[in-house]
Amino acid sequence: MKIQEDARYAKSDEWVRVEGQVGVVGISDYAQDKLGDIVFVGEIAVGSELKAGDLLTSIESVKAASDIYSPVSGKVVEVNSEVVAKPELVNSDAFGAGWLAKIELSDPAEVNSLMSAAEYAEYRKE
Amino acid sequence: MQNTGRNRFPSIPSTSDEQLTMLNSVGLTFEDIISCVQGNACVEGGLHLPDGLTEDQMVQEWDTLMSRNSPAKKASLMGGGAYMHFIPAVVPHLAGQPGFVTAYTPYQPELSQGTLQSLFEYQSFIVELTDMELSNCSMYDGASSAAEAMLMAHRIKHAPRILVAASVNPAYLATVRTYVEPHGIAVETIATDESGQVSRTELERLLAAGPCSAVLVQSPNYVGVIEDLSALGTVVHAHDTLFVECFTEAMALGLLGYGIGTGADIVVGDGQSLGLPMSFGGPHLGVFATLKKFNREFPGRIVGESVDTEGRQAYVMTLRAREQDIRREKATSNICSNHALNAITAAVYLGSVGRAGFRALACENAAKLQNLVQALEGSGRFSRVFKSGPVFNEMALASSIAPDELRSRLAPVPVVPPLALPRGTVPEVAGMPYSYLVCATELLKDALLEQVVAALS
Amino acid sequence: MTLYDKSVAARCAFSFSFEEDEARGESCVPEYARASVKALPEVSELDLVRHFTNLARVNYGVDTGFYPLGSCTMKYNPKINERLAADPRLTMRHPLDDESDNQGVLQMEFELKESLKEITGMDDFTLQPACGAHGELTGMLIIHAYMRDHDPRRTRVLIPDSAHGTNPASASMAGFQVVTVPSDGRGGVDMEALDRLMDDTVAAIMLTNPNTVGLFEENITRIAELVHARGGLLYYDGANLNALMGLIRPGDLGFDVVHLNLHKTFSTPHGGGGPGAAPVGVKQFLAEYLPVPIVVSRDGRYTLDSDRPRSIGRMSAFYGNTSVLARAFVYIRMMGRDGLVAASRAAVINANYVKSLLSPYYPPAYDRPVMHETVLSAKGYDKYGVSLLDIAKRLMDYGYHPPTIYFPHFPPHAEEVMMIEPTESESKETLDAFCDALIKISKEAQEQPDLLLSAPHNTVVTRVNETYAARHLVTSQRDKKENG
Repeated sequence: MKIQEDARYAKSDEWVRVEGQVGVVGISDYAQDKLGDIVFVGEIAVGSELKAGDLLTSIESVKAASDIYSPVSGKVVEVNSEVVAKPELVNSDAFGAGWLAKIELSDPAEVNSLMSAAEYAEYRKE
Repeated sequence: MQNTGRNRFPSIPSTSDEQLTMLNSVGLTFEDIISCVQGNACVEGGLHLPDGLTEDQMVQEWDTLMSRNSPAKKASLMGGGAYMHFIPAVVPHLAGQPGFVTAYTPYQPELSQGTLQSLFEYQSFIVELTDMELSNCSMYDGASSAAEAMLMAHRIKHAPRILVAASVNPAYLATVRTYVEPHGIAVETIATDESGQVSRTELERLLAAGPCSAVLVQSPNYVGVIEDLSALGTVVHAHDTLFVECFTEAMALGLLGYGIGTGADIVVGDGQSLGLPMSFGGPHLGVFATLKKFNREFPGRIVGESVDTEGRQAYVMTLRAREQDIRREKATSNICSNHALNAITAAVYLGSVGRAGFRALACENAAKLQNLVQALEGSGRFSRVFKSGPVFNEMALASSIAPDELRSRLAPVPVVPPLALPRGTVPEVAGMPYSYLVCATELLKDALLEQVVAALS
Repeated sequence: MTLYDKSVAARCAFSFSFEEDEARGESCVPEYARASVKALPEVSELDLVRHFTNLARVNYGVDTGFYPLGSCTMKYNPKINERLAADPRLTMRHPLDDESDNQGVLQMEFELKESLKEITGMDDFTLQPACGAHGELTGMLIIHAYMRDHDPRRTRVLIPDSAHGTNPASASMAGFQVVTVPSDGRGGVDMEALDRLMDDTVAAIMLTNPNTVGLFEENITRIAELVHARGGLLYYDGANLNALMGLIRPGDLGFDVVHLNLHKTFSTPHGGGGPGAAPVGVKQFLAEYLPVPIVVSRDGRYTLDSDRPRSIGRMSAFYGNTSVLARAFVYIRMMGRDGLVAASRAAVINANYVKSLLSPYYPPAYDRPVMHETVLSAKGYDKYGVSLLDIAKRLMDYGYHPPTIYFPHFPPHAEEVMMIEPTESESKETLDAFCDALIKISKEAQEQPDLLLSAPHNTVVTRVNETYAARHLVTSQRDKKENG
């Protein structure tokens, strides 16, 4: 199970990596492995306002479908169009090229209530 | 009367000795096993049903029952959602093979390539006939498919309102209402104009009145009139609304244009005319086709092409994550089993009639109706209700002959009489207080048509 | 190769005496509505016959071999059903024709209804729903309408975690919110959880009994009392009725709405995914909500009654899948009072026998006698690098269709499980041979796991790539041409 050290994690397996005012959001390597071969990443509307825990999108594999929740509150400023065309990027590079959205954080302190990489690794230890 | 030494029920092979051996192996008596059931209300004294019948007794009883129906007819002047067409011998022969009939849902593709490829071919034919991009492998019937299309449109557009042409088959409209009612979706009908087509001004007025998820139009409509689907599609797409086309008579697909060329987002209908008997209303065949951009929203199972581990072409059910077993309450529909065998039957039928045959049949249907109508009008007792509306194989006719008289006049002719329309369904024609929906298919041979006209003149 | 691939221009399979001029027919349709000739295949009848005969041959069916699929009741489809259901006196009936012409088929449907009432202990039935999910939707719409009239606060439905996916999907389609009820350590509904969840916002609980782990709901009487006392209704998913015929009736257990699967319990064929039929039965107080029309008997005549102002409306254009209903009618009539209970009895014995043979190799989810199906776990095999899927695929090499796999799924009791329902149709020899195969596979998993991982080997195609199918969506010949 891959872990990204500089990200914070939600219990529902989403991660956020803070870059200035913006949080880059995706699903963890553990989550992509559980889903299996991903075939579809749902549309995310740029400009939508979300609170932490709101539905961000849904991701489908051949045998499962998962609702993905935003780990942070803010406005969606950018969406990764690559994963819409090539959903397999989420499988191969969940923390890198498989990012889902960039959210302008309305409350930067929120990330502190998420798990650290070490805490998440412990939480998802098989 | 019990024959000693033989199992009483041929469909239950285990003998009482074998059942005892198996129970001994389990280490329990049957009463032990069902003790969990005791203590709840049990069927004391057995079910109050008659004794079972042997096969020969069953044939007798069935024969007695079926003799209480009138004899099967050679043609039907009645349409209205179920149609009598010629079914080539090869169709039931191929569709009735045990490999298709006794197979399970193709969840294990290695054992189900027969079903899967046949359904892929059905999907291919439907895509061609409806001129759409994506077809599922069947739903139950045209009415429930139309209803599911309305739910799909609501999922996409979110407006709690749909418009349905008043000239849609009344049973289809009733089914749509039943399905949308618990979701608080309002249903408004669009009036028909003097030609029997959807009133374009009414449609524009209703669309302008507020947001709407879908407009549902049937062509040919319930009173037989062909709609100008392209024109209607253009009106609908000036708004943020889906255009849904439907048909009850699949034979029309042989001559009429639907789908992308007319601006459709979804095409639904009933495929009963594609090699399936009327069977007193079921099972028929729900056709559902849409555009690729809606492939996540659309209900029903889909078969896709793929490869196996050796790189050989193979078929498999795909986009399963929309379905109930994975998505549960968030599924695009609750549909599980569909009408797969009927879809396979339709595929065989279309393979049998082929490109030229299907076209020729559609033309024959249209011409036959014209012959019938001309002859009936010629008798002076019938008149078309919609003088200018174009039709395919059904038409609304006003008449001076009352329904009971019509039936008794037609009794010696081996045809199902036309459908008597309730008063108010269509505009009245002076001097002809009764109205009928008259249908003609390729089965209305000239000789039979002459008998019909003679009986009614 | 598809039929399109085999097409040659001008080949035809169709023989019909056209009387009209094609051009005249075309001219009947105005240009704005007329299409050009649409692309369909052009093959000879022999091409068509070989094509579909060979396709049917590569399909597995009940007529070919054993389907141990849990909750599917893949019992034998008697051929007398097929013959009688194909009777032209039935198939050539127009549904809108005068009832005096249709008394035979109406009587058949009425008598079927009466026997289903007796088998289930319900008061009235609709024969309209086309398949199980359609029946569930019908039943839940009836409950929705009843609650709208009597207690509109009730917008939620309780559904066990072990339920088939159609249950929550149907409840949702009927306008309800779904609340999941966990199962307890014995495999039944957790009564404490139920006590907590059952309140005045809940319209109904949907139950399958026996449930999807093949166990009879021990607390069913208490569940019924509790739910009814707090103003809710009980819905019965009849998928597993094959365990109970003639032993117990859902109506007597307190269920208010019931759906049956004729293509499971009542021997009508599966057809590769339908058509089936799913009559829905109700207690008298709900009868006014049934969809129209209902076949009734009046003054010695059978008629379709649509004069029901509180009806939920229609679920389809006509009256139900008549030729499927006919098959079930024949089955019930031939089995009779003693045959139905004999079928359930044999089904239950067969399932317990299979469980006893396989338990040492695939531990049962629950240590209780089962009804007509058994749920066994393959969890322990992952230490050999082998999954339940691999075991299922290897079974194909032994000539069997795999059982239901990965369902039900509710950890920790039901994980990596297969659900086996032998039905009463199978002989002891078939069951012995099937269990033998699974036992051999159990050894292979330990000693030669590669055989499982690369299975199946003996089928016309090997494992099909589902990811490829979804990522490169080709669902029609038109798609193929466009995608190159």
